[in-house]
Amino acid sequence: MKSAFKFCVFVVSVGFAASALAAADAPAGSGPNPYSDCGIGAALFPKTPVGAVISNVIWDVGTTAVTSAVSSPQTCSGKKVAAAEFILRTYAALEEEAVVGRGDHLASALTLMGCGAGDHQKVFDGLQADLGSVMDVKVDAAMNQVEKSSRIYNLLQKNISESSTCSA
Amino acid sequence: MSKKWYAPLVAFVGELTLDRMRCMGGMVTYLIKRISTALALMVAAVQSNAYTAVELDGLAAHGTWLKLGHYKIVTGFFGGGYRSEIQSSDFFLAPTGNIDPKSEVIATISAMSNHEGLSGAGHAQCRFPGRFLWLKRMNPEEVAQWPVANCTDYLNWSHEIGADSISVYFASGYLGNPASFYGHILVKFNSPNSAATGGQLDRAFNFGAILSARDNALVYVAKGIFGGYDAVFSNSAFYVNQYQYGQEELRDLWEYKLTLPREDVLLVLAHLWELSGAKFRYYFFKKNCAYRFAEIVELVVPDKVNVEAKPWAVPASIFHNLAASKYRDIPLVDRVDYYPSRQNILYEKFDSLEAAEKLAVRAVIKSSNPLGVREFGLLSDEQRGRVLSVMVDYEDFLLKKDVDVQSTKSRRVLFMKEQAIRGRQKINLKTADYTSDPPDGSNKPSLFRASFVSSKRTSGSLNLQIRPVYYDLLSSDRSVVPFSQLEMFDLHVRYDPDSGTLLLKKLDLINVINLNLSQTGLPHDGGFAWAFAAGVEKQLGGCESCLTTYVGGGYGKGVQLFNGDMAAWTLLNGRVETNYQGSSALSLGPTVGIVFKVSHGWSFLGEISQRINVERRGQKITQFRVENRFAIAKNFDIRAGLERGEYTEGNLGLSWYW
Repeated sequence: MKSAFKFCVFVVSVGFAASALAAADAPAGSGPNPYSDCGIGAALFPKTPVGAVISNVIWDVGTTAVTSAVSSPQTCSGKKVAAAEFILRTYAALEEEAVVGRGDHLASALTLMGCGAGDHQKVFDGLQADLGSVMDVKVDAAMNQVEKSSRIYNLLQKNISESSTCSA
Repeated sequence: MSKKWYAPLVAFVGELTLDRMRCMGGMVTYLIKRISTALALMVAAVQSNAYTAVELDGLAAHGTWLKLGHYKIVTGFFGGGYRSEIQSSDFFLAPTGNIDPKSEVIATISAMSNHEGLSGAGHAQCRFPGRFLWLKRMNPEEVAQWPVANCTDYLNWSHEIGADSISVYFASGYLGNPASFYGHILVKFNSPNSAATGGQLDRAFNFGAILSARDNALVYVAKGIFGGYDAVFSNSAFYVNQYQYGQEELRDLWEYKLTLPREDVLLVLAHLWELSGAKFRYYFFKKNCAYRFAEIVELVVPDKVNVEAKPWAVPASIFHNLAASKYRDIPLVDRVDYYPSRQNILYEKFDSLEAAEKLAVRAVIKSSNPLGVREFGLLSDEQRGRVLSVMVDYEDFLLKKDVDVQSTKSRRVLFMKEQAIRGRQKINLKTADYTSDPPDGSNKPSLFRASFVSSKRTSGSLNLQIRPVYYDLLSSDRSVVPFSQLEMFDLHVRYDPDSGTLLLKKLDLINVINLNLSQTGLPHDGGFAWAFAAGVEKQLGGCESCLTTYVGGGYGKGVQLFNGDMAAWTLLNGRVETNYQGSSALSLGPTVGIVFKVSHGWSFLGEISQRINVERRGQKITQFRVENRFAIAKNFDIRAGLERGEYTEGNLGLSWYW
């Protein structure tokens, strides 16, 4: 009985510790990640190449196929899913703009995330600085598109939360 | 207006029992009789309001109504009439609405003014907001008396789109897929935040066939040409299209922004809503994206934008027509913008570099320690920024070509990280100037040419050429793949006044050349040149009327010279033809050619080739041709040349592009 109690305390402690660590890993103000929590990564890129999925979606019914495949808990607002989908689909162009700190794709992503044009440059600058710090040749080259998109999404959320007027 | 407008129909359906229809003939008679009765009652119900019989006739025959229903005049054995090109029966409210515009307008008015179901999306006002807007425009006093349906879905959708204006996009031809050879059209509704986001979040509409994954290439082609596929309008955020065309398929985009007033923009949007799910029959050559989007524009533009007179519709023709159209006495096209593909962005950026920067790019590419090379180190901060920008584009380009993927990915990250770090210094980069001639800036895609041909064998003959589409190596069109050729159904007939005979000289079903040139000289830019042709032509060595059917192709390499004004190439060709009078069915041999754009209006082509007949002990036939093109107007040029096949001919021709 005593050992069973110890085991329960251990499990609960580990659970709390894991939660704390997970919370510490998530960027401030990020909330749920649509790629993992809302299923958008799997919906858009189950096992097929980027081009094939996009092509099929265009050919058939616009984005209906995507949105119907996404599980949407209450925390996955349409705004977040739309922004995540945009980042994922346009990743290469968006990443190029992110490292130079300007561009239409970045502006579109921020607009989808509810950030007014007046605050865009501040968020762009923050994102550019963050990417300069976190990018790593070996690690990045091994990351897939969903992982990279998720990282940019979180960095954008972080910089938006630090901005005065953006509401993510 | 009777609230029970549908009562006659309900009664009709209720009475429709099987035991009353003892045979097919009886059933048809019965149906016609009952439908006529139902319609007569419906007409009476509609006429009990403000619409007189004359007004209903006027509405039914109105051009906009016919366009909203996609009605076309058809002729048949028992006389002419109308038939809608929409295949979906649920697009029509009247039982015979697909062939009877009047019954459809009556049913529409009846349903629109119905007091039942006002809170649901199924009410006619919600299902057909385009028809509703038009009827309101035609008779506002009457429509103001109708009950107002609560069309929440439609209103939310149109509010989200926030359409201020319309742009029509041309996506340049894509030689990677025969269905995209001639380019593509899509339409975008520009929202108020369009300028801030480059229009990427705006809503774009496409028209395309619904394909089956089970169809192989032959079935795909046959069904595409002969109407085996249904086609629908679909929509998505514009970035989805922009990314696919510009980044995935490396196609340029041109945006034609139209000057339509907002009420017309909203009518077009409303019509596209009511077309959701409506199926058309798809025909590759005519009833395609170009044709359908021209119809959409013509819904509100009185000028003719479509190409009804031709048995084919290519996107370039529509843009020529758009550019020439006026709306309320002002040009229909407000402005044209160019969006280069990822590949052309690389070319433009590289082209804009200074000599030292280009040297650094080449050194960086070769080095395993790219940022440590001397040529890069000697540059200023700004120059390094420009080189890094080109390098990222170049690595993307390599990834697109699957070149050494893992290493390319690593180098791309390296250059981007360096950019991010350097970005903090706020380097002001010079940007490349992206310009290109729009599709309407060059000649139209169809050709008629009359040439005088002279040789030792005849005192002179007349050669007539008709080529429906599209362009040859000397054409001026800059919106197509550079240094390429795409000719289809190219027909040559020759009239000989001495003998009074008219003979078929050649009919190329298809004749494609893609030189695939490197524009930067960087590794992996450009690829193998290739050619493919199939058709019927006069047989070398045969009689004047002896024809052979052939299929041939070539593979080789081309280079670009003189800053892009000249291309030279060599191909190794193979050709199979019908064996006629002991000639060889199989031949092989090389071709060497050049194209030189001497000046803005003058270009020159020279080509020499040899055919070695495999079955006739290596018998060789050497051919050459030189051709000059002198542009004399946008849609006219003069061709002068010399050609040697069995004998030497000189030719001088006048071309008209239409």
